[in-house]
Amino acid sequence: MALSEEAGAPKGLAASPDDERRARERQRVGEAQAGSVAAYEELYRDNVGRVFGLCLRMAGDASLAEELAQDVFVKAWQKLGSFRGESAFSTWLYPIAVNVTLSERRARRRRTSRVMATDDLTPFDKPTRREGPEDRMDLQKALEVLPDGARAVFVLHDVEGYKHHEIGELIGVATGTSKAQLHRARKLLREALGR
Amino acid sequence: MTCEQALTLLDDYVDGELAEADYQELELHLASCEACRKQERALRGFLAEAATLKRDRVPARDLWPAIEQRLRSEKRVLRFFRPGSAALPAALAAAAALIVAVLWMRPNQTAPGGASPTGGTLTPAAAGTAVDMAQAEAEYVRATNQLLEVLNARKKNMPPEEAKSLDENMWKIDASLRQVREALDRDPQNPKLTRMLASTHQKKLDLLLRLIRLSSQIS
Amino acid sequence: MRLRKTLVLAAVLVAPALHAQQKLDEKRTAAPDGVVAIENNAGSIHVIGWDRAEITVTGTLGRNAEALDFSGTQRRTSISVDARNPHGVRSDLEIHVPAGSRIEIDSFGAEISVTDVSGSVHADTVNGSIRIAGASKEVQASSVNGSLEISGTPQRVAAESVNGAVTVRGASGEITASTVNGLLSVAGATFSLASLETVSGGVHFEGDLAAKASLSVNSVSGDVELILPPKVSAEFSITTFSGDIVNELSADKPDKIRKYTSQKDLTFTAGNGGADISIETLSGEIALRKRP
Repeated sequence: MALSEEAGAPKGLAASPDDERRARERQRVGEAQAGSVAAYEELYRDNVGRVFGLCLRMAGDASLAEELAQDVFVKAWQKLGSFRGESAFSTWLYPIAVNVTLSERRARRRRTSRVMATDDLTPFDKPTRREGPEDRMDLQKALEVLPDGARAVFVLHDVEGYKHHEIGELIGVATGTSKAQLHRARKLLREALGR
Repeated sequence: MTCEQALTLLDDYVDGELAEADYQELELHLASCEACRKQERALRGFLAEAATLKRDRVPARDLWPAIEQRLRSEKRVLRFFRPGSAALPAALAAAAALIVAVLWMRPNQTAPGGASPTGGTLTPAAAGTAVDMAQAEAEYVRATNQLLEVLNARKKNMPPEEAKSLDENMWKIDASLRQVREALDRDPQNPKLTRMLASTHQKKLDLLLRLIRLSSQIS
Repeated sequence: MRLRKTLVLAAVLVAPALHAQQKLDEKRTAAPDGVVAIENNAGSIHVIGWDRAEITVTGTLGRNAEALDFSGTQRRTSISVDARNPHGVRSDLEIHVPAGSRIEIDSFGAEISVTDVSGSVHADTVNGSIRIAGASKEVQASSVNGSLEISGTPQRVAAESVNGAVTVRGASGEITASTVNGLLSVAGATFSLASLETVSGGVHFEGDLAAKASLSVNSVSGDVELILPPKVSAEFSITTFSGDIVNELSADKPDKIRKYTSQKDLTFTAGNGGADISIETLSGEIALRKRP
């Protein structure tokens, strides 16, 4: 018995390709919510690129990113019942992906204790420089050698577009710490890239 | 402001995070300092490049088989889906809709006795009722059997108390259906009874749909 | 130009060792009228409104729970017990929320209660019971096997159970309630719309009707009892196929309209008419009584 109204396209307007895509997606989500693994595979295919891209940026390592991407889709399946179709599936999925990549980082660091806001982040090392002019570092590679904490803040702020207070809540640090991390990450990356 | 101070403020400046006073001072400094302006440009260029990192990447191998295996080896908690959320496979939802359409979208006259409790027009009191009801009932039975099949397949994965409760619910609704059908047999063209039979079938259908949405499924 | 992110954030707490139970004591700030969405497979969920702009979660996280996900923004907070295999994971959550919050609860078997909250409450469960008491204006609750108990002064109620009893006290305005086997009992003030349905449970209604209100009751074998103010103004339309009709509101008697069956119809107008009351049962007894 719904008291609230169902969201949907206003009746009477012609369906655009976007509307059609959303409608197809909603259909698939419905089937997946009812248990169809085949429908969920379609959702996986449509979204794996975006999820894996994020995992790769956050993890800095391709094989870890592959594991994380799998974790994301498994977790999303578990939480599927709470998706109410108010946004695109990818919009709902993305924060789950951010969450998974961050928890993994925390779990790896301190597996047996509760993780709260911490300012004692690992000290920065200078990233190693590649030798030789032909081995020019690109930004993705430079990211991989950044320390985890700096990489996470950099990716979340400068790539994904989160604000400092949001990052603070995500990672569990004060806004000031997030800013400090970011500035250092930029400095280290620019030095590594010679820019 | 010295260049050293200016450079420390650059990050917040390009992020739009500077307080008003610092902002004014830095702008003043930049207006007259080529070296710092160069740094600002370099930083902005770097950030523009950083933004391009946000792109989809394809994993080297297909991750789906491993994901699928994990999905199948997990029992998903029974989730409750709010009405209005995405429904079952189209075929079954269509079957349910068809039933309602068959029974309620009838143009004919209203039967005596006042307003229908559900607000719709009553089914016709005309001669064709018995035949139409038989057909409609056949549709209902077909739709509910389809759903029962789905549910029975999932019963194996339910804990025994749940399966038992499911059976009991079905049994009770079926008992009520039998009661209504018996009454209708004694009074075949009774429009209210016809409607009651239809709505009891609908309740059974609704219940099955709801239980299916709730049940965990590993096929 | 950076895209602004949707403000759904996460700060996951990791449970220490996987098989022990962990005590919870968490806190976050929240808007006075934000949404609080809670998921807990089994155990208990007790939500209590208070006058702080803060949400606290205390209790215990069940064995085999992976974490309590307590995250979100000021306007939308999510509290969810995460487990790789949620079946059988029982956690007890006591959650204090700003009194104006809107509550959404999803559970399988938890015992649920919401008290002292004035925002809307939506709670769905399968086996658990739901008790909602407070100042909410809008309540939606559903269960399969659990009972629903709603009290306070809601003005819109949607309550649905299969086997559990549904009891609503103090409501007014609009109510839609249904059970398959459970007893459906509604008592309240003045209703503008009441739709009560059951298959084999009984229906009990006590209240008044607004001028153009509509009250409809449907049952197959459950008995129906309506207790109305003596001066009620309504048009009654009552049918039972093999049950009895007891009318204490007026002197009207049912017509046995069909020759070879036991169907009884009773139509009459009380007071000035206006409201619309219709009751239909197959075999359930129908009783119309005056409120003392």
